[in-house]
Amino acid sequence: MATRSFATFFINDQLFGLDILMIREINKHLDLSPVPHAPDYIRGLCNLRGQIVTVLDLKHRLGLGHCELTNNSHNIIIKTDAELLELRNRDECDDDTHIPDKVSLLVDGIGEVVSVNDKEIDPPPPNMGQVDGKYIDGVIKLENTLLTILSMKNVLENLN
Amino acid sequence: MDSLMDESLIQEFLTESREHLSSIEPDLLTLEKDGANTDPEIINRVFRAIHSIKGAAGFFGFEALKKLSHVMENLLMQIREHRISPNPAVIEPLLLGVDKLNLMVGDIQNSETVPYMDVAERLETILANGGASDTSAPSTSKTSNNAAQEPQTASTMSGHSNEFYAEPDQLEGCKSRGQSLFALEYHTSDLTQNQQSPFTLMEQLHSFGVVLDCMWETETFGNLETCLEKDGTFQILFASVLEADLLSQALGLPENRIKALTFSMVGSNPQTPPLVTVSAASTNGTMANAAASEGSLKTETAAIGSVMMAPELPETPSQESPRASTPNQPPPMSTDNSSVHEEPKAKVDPQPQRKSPNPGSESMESVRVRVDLLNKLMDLAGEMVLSRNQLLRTVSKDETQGSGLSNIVQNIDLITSELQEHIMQTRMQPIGSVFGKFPRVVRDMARQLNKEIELQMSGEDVELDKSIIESLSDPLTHLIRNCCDHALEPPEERKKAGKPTTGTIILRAFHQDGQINISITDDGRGIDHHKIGQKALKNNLVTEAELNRMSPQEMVNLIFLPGFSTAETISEVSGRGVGMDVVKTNITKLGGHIHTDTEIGKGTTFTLRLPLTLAIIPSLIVGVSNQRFAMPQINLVELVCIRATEIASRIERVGSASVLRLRGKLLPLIRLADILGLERTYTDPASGQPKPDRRREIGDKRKATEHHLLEMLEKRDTNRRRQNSDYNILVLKVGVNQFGLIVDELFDTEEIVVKPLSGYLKQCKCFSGATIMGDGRVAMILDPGGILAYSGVSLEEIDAEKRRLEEAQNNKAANTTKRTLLLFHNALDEIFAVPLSSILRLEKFNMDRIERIGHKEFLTYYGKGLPLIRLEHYLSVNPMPHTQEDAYLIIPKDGNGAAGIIASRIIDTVETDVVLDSSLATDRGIEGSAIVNDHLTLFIEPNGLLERAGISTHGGTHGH
Repeated sequence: MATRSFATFFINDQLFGLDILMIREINKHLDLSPVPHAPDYIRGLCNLRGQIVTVLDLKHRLGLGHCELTNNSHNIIIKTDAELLELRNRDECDDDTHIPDKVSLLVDGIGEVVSVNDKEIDPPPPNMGQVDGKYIDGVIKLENTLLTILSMKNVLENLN
Repeated sequence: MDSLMDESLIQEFLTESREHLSSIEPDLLTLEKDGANTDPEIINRVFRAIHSIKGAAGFFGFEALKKLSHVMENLLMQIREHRISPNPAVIEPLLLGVDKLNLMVGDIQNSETVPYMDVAERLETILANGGASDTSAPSTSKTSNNAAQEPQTASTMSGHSNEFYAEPDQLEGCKSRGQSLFALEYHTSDLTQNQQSPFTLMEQLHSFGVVLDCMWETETFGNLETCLEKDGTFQILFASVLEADLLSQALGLPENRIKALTFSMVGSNPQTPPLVTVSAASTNGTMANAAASEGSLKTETAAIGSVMMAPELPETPSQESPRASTPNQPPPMSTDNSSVHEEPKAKVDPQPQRKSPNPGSESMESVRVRVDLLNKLMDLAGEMVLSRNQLLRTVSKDETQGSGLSNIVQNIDLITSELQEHIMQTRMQPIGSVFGKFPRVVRDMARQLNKEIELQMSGEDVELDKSIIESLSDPLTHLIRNCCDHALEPPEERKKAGKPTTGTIILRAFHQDGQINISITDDGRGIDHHKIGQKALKNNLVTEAELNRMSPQEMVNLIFLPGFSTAETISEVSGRGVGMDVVKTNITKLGGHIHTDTEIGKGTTFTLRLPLTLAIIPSLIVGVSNQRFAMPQINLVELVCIRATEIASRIERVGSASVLRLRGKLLPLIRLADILGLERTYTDPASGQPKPDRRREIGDKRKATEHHLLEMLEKRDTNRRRQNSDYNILVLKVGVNQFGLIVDELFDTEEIVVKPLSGYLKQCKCFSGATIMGDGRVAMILDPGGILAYSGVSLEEIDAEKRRLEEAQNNKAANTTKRTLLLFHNALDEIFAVPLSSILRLEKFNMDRIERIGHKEFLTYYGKGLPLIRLEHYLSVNPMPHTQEDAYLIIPKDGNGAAGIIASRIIDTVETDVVLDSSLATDRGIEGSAIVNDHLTLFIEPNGLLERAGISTHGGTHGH
């Protein structure tokens, strides 16, 4: 049975996870330049060592309101198609979300990395709290909380 | 098999072929021009280029490519041998052939589908006719030509020489390792029987020794796809420590197909007779072995060192005869080892020969680098510059004295700049790579149109960014075609106009003001702006009224409008649905401009101005609402600062838009903050905090006045604040339109590295990209076109207003004059005005200096007596007060400074457009009267006044 690892993070108090293979890095680059005319869920652009990253407000994307920047806020940088190419070629990453440009997700706080067996991932309920079920790939029961696995595809694609 | 058809090899071949093809074309054109007197080296160069394409195409199995290049090669051979003279009729099909080859190479996978037979047949026909006198077996059939020419090719070009060759170093190496040389003969059937691919065979061989050379007849094998199906043999020069019998076992090859060789036998003169048999001699005693097992090969003495391995290959008989007849075959080589090693070098690699004729152009060594690598380097250099900027900023902030840090930073600064500059240079390419194709374009056009056209080019070595060069090709081609087709007249017409029958097009590239200029000049008929105007009118591109107001230059520029085409019928030549508007769009996309200069009957010059590179652009950094944005300077016409006190008078509303009066033109104004939905701010200099701007409407006079009052109040606190309430207006250019963009703050100009907008931000049309500023923050790059479109400012409305104003002005022109006046007193209760433009000088002088002769008054002025005019002497006005000590001297331009008018006091200058009332203009010297600033003012007409005073207005004075 394959083991999968998830980077976990908080939106409000709810614990979410994304496959760690898809994540390039997590940082606190929160010096964001807002982009006028951009859709609401885009918080701005940040400079990641000379590369410009588009920062999405994950909370807004999930329909949970706007993310307030606090000391715990973090920026989760997602790997681009180019960075995932090798993994995908080796069939180590079956997520085929189209990620042409550098993008990151703004979250309220980060949790630990959780490794679970494939079979421990339950199918998603129609919705989790107020989050639309389409953004959810599955649910994992942890000791004292539920970990909601997000669907990278539905979070990042069809934004418009 | 596919494993051998390495993609990268094919790519290499394609790149090389393209280079060859691009070099062939100019050479063919020279050949056509110089005819039989052409430098033989040029013919050779063309020949070699085609030959290497043919060879490689055969190897890779690109049949169409091979066949066509083969026929071309045959024809070139005849030209080289002076059997066919290179007249235009011969060169034409060759050029067409080059085109076809280009097509094939361009899309190699579909190269077989390119129709080339017509060209091939034309070439064949020329070959058949031209070469009939001296070809032993003249024939139009391809194969026989093939046969007739091929052998010579082989013997001269070294492409298919039937002998082994190995690098002397390699041979030495084998020798020192105690290896012996063997010639292995394989049949393709060996491979199929053992289910081996050539690749696995090589692997097998390498486990026992070293493969030094390999030989096969490409003609026999056809291509790699099918070679295993045909029965053929190939020979391998192999070095191994094993002896022949062991080798036979190890390789599973019958001993009779293993021949031991001596080192001296390898590498020989290409001119040796082809059918020489293998002379097997052995240094280690395998000679007998080899000789005994060799059935079909004769053995000669070991003293003859040439090793030729051709005989067993199935050859067409026709191939033999010419080769056998090749004259001047040198005697066989001696056994001397050293000479054996050196001799072949000259012929094996044709490259050096090819390069030698042009030592200047290829003297520098170069390597091929992938473009994406260069782009990456370019990116990194850009980032380096940014980091450097950050470093500079940080260090200058807390300058630690004596730490030596600033020196280091200075060094890094210099190095970074230089690094960036050089990396930019790597992307630079001479524009000649685009120019290079134009001689051909012009030649073809001239033939098609029956015109005589000469193309002169200069500045081919001017370098431009690769990406710009690539996108320049189409617009330039279009312009050149236009020149040929529309601009240049047919010879008869030129003769009638007194011009030389040959039209000239001059294509120049040169640097100017840090930009690249490319100009295309023709001496054709020029652009008739009236015709252009009428055409535009007919196509409903402009209205009659618009046309009437246009300057000739503006009318000429109509050719750049989409939907404009002057050619009555779309000609095959240049009317290909691509209009000048596309040219303009392409140039604009590159951040460039196009300028037209034309004179009817004399010719036209199009000048393109382009930036050196696209990746780094100078930009003005502006601030709105505490955010910064970059405006590329290429779009910036000028910066205008409107003082807070002038806002009310200079900005007005037209329809929904605010407009600025700028030198008599109306400029629509757009506020960046409003466009971007940001709060307008200005920085309070006292606190350094941004404060919201209270002004709501740009051109709202009432509010602006309110604001003005507010400012007057604030002014009492601090004068500095006033400056921040001024309007900073960027005058921007979008195509032919201009508009003003009001920003809150102006910062420095910076060289910014352009990064494309991510796909998530595609709907933000007001930005063309993003960049990272010196402080590490991201700033958006503004796109003037997008902003104008987003603002919804109707340029038509502004235009209409402009028209209305102009018309009103024209109507009133008779009695209205908008001009700047000098207001002055003579008697203190009367006000006079004289147009400022009519005044030469204005001086203050002491009344005591006035000298009198009779009743005339003079002032010594620059050593001459200047006659003085008192208004009261000539006009029915009151005299100036006698108590006056100082007075002013107004010297009018009329009479060229021959006299001066005395004024008691200067009041002011005003700009007015008052209507003159001529009822008071009873005397000459008075133009009329009007109310200026609530006072009745008498307008002086200096010319009339001077005449009345008897002063010639044409210079000099009349004595009374």
